[in-house]
Amino acid sequence: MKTHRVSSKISATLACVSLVSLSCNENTLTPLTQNEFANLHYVNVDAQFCTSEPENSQQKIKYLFLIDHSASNQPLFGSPLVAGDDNNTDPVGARRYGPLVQFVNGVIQNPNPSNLTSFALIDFNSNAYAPGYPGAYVNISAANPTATATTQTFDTDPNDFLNTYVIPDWEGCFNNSGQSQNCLGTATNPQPFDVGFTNYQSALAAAQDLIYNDLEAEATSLVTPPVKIDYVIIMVTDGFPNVASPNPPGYTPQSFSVDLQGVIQNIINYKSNPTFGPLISNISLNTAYYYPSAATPDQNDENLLQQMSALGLGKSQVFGNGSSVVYQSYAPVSRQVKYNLADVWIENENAVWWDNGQLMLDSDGDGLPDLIESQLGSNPFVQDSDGNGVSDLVEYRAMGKPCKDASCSPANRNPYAVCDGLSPSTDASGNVTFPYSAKDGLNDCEKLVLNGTQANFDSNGDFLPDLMEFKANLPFVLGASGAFLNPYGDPLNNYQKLKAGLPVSISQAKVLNFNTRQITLEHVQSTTPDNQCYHLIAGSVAALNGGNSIKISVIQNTAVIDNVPILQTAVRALNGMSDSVYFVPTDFK
Amino acid sequence: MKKSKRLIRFFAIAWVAATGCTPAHKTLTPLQALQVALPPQTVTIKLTGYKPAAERSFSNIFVNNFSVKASQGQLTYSSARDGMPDTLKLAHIADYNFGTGSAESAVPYFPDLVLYLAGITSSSQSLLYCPPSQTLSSTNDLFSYIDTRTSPPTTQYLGLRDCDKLYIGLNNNLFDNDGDGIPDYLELRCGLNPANPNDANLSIAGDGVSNIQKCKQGIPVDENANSQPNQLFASKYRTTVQSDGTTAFSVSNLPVLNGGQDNFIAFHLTELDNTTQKSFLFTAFYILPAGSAGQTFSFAYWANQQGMTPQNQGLTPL
Repeated sequence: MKTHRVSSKISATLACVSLVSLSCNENTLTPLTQNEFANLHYVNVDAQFCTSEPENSQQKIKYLFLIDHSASNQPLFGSPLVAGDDNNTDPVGARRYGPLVQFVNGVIQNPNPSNLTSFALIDFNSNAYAPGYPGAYVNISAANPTATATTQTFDTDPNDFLNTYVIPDWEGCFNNSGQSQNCLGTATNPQPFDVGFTNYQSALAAAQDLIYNDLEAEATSLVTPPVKIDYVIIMVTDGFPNVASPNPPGYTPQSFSVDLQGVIQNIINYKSNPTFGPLISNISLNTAYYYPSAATPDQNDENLLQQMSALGLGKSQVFGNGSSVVYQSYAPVSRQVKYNLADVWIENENAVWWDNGQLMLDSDGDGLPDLIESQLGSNPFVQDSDGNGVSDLVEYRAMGKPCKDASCSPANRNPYAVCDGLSPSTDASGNVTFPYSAKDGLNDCEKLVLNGTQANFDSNGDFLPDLMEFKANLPFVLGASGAFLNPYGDPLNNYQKLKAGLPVSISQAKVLNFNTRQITLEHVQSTTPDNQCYHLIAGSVAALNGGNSIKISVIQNTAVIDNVPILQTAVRALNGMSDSVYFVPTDFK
Repeated sequence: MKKSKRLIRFFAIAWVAATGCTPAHKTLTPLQALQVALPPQTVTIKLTGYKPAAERSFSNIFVNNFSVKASQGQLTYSSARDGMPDTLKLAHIADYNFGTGSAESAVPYFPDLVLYLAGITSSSQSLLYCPPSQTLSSTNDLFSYIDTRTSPPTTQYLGLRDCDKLYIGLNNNLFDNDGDGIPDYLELRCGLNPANPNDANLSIAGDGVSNIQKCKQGIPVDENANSQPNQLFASKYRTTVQSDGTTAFSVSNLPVLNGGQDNFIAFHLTELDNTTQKSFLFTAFYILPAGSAGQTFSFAYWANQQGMTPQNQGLTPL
């Protein structure tokens, strides 16, 4: 096999010899720029890398329990009891609260780190209210959704949540371990909190209110990259939503279309809200219908709860025959995030296609060629000539020149007020370095100056890393991409040109006497059952001098659900006379 | 050996640089590690009489063999026809509860492929829930067929039910959520993300062949299209406009295994409404009989001129 490989190379060489004599003519041989192309040669890149191993998905899980405290929970309510009665559903709260305590205690063992899980509780009967404070009813409605129902927030401490809200709400029937205590609500002494009507609308509006307030707080305390939130609303009820009807005295049932649909839609719509949407991985309204042991489920009640959870993209479950609510069955499914290879980019940091369509030497790799830097007065060997933390190319594109004054004096550098909120480090000579939140090579200040997205290496989501796209003078900010355009009507679009190592600033027909890259990607043996390993070989990577730095950017994307890309990069310099650069998996960080 | 190889390569490059002449094939092509000894058995599928309604235009057609998956120079068989080779499923019996008999072998209503890609192992599978109102597809992105390989025959579902789409964060009223031209289920099968609008246009392998093209041809998106195996595995599409104004599609070199017996040929045809820019999906399938390898099967286009009915059709050859 190896003999064959060598002989094929020889024949390739011979083929070239014969082609020169047969097919080269003066027209196609005219180089664009004699000076630059005189040094043009080509190197090979050989890299092995693997996709990341699956990792447990991380999200903030926020449980919001909406618990029914209507009078029908009581024994003897509407007595005398008759068979098929809808009352006497949960006289001591054991069906609602016993499993809730167990669930909240058990959640700590969830693989999700405990501080990412939090809880909140809203009670409802004639109105929604904060647990333990039935006197503090707040009459909120879908028409007034931002009224503050409760000062409660999501509690990340399970014990605090149980002791502050759940146990007092349960009238102290049982302690944290489920042992019986002084229980006020018994079969003969019903819970004083289980009184009144069953106002679903009020409960849902209170849930909307709580979630809205939480999202506002999350949006202002944004950490990057954000850990998304999964809101799990669990509405626990014995059915029959109705509110007092004053005239004539009695009650009015609530209906899905009139009373409930709107507020559920409001809650779900937060997912597509431009401000809140990016914070949310999911919102679901789930229902748990516990009906009295003596009766079969009321079909109207069950249907209504199914309708509500279908709109709320959640589960609808029935707990009959006196059984307890199984909260665990509503828990979000824990899963592993798997990654697929999405794209691979190879760049020579020291040979850039400049805006004029010429391949030029860029010794410092800032994207501004040496020749241009010497014309503009900046230092071709320093990426940030004036030491203000913003590279020469960024300054050139943003301000038209790489330094505030042509002498590049640090005393006269541009301070870029837009970066005032960032905390750069400054060295002894006063040179500023801003943090790199994304790994594409543009720092946080440069992203701000250029209207990019700080934490994102690919602000417009086209799988071209921001700095690479910026160097090619293509738009990289959110909402704009030139990747798949073809302004010159060439055989290749911009994306394909960048893959092939061609300039995007001129027509392909004007690029003469230049080898396009040839890339081969092959699978190699994986390191684990759930990742993929690859061998990448690129031939004809253009180089202009001896010390070229080759950068490979590997982009992976999640297989499903999250749609989150991640970037790993590796840089290696071409050594001496070698015509190849080799990368190993551990090079990629 | 290595040194002399590089030396020759160096001279070749130096020579090219010195003369300034570009050889026709431009580079030293690395050897392909993967080689297939024998070309695969294939079938040819023809579809005739297609004509979109006046306000509609044709977007794309995908004809894939769901029983076969090409990867790393091999064709592997998928008994469940769900994009997961039997070997992969058997390797995940313990952690995912997978079986090879059905596309939804672990959890009712949730395809094994979705469980695998979403990393939902057996310990958390019991928490998945599909409401009764969401067990079908609102978008025709789901095949239902009678599997006669079991006794008695069973109804099988291949694709994404509404609850599947909702679970993975997609809109259940769209068959192509990211609008990149690949229906969501095919996108999952091809290893792409149905929520990402750009991944269809990329060429992961850097060979200039876009991911959507590879997905259509039944070859892996993360391998070179010009490797020897993928050259052999890639199906070839030809579109012919007939004198009566209808279009005929021919898909040749569609690889089959087991001589073609029980191989599930899936059709996905997409159209665009010229005024509303709304897109439409029409699906059909044909299960190859024994001894199909090497044969050509012709079908009449299954949907009526409005393209509304019937959908998800089991086809009969002409």
